[in-house]
Amino acid sequence: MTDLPDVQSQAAQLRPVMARPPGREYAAELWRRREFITTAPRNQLRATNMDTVLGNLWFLVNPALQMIVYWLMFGVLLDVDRGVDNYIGYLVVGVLTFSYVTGALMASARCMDSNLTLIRSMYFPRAVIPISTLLSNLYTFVPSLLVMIVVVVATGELPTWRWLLLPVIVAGLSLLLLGVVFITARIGKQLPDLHTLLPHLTRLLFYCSGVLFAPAAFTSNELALLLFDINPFFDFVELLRWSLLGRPVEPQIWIFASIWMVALSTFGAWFFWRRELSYGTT
Amino acid sequence: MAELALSAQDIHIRYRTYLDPPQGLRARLKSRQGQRRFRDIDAVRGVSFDLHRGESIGIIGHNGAGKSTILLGLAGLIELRDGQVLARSRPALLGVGALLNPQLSGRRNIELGCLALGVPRSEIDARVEHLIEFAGLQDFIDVPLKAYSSGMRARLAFIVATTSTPDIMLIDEALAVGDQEFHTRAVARLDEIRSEAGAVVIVSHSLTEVRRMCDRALWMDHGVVVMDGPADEVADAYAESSAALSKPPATPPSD
Repeated sequence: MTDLPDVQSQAAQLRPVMARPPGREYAAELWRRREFITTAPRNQLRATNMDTVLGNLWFLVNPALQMIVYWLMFGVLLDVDRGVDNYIGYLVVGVLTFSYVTGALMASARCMDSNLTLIRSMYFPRAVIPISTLLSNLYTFVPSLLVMIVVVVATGELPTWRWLLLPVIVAGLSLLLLGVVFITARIGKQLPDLHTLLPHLTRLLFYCSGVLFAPAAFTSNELALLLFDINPFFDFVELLRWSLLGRPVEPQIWIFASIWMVALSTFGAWFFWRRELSYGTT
Repeated sequence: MAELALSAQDIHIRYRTYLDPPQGLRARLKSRQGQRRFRDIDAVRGVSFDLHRGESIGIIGHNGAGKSTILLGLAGLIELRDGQVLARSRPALLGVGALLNPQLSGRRNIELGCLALGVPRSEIDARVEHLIEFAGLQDFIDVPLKAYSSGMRARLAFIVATTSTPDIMLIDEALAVGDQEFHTRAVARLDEIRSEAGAVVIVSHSLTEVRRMCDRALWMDHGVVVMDGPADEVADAYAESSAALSKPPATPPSD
């Protein structure tokens, strides 16, 4: 074995196949897949309604129907406005925004397993999957935003400069949600039980986010109200209402929302990336 | 000797699978094994080999010998329990199961597959038509994948995996389902990849294919390599052992 040193020097040029790229390199790899990240969910959505009669119209009809059910229940039957101006507008923003949150969270718990074939057939940064899962839900949220705007205008609101901030608020909410999706995607991979647990957690979140009622109309307990304010999903729903309906928000809502957005998206990305190599296991 | 393309060093792969014993709750409680619901399977138990540039290695062995699992390990798609795989660049895996979305057309699947691999859009646009023609899929390219036959899927997977010429190519039974005509073309393409100083690892049940396409073969059994040598010798030994096993046991020679 006289060529042993040579073999060793050759081996030094080889790189481990199974290595987690450092953050910056990982981000660059993700960037190279940007077109996949945006195209895959669009194709997926196109395929979902392909064999229905209404086709892609469902993306508009679905949120509209959802809205009508809540309106019949809480607006007509129970008449629970509790002193909220334009309760219908209040309801539509809350319900449809939260539907985006629930949809993304539910999809995230199983996204690594439902894409296992893809994960086991080629290499790409695994963060591609949670990001496209979120994007797929964001795409379906866009028609919901249209429904919101139609309802809001129909109930007498006029566009203001605050509407211009709507895309910014939606982007902020999506970033926050992405952080959570990263976390649930990893946990859901390690602990599939999360998928069954999640509906209960999202329902809890639903009641804590002031979707149907304004919490201030039900309690004057400072601590309870502070807990609502700390909940970032409540904050973003309130910010969307501020933008579309002109409901006043306290400055702390902006602060809590921003802090959570930065903290959760950063932590979530790191948390997911830590287990990068494990997502191919059955 | 040619330069090293890939080096597998004492790799171990284990996966966990769930047990579904055919017994009710009462029996399970009685046997006091209620908690042990999964079993660890050591699919690959310490495999080492070097693959050189321009070389082509065949992996043969019985079902469940760990052949497909080892390819996942070489491609870096599954976590190793121990050991490591070093390579000049990330190997591309070509398998029959590798399809993206059965609802989408062949063309969209090719696009998505290439985009997922990080192939730039310009390169995809420049090559995709040629590749579709190469694979002979022109007539079916806009039909949803679920309408494809298994041979046609294999052709599609071949396109995705070879769009950007990989240095190291890992092939899992993918050529077996194609018809003779495509097989000839695929073999020619693989030879081209090898001549560009690439290397190929093929898992196959066809000893003829291994003899024809490979310089060297590994015979795997129960997660270990039992023989490593020139393709013809290993294929002969494997064929002999299989023949010995499949001989009917109850009929001793009458003479």
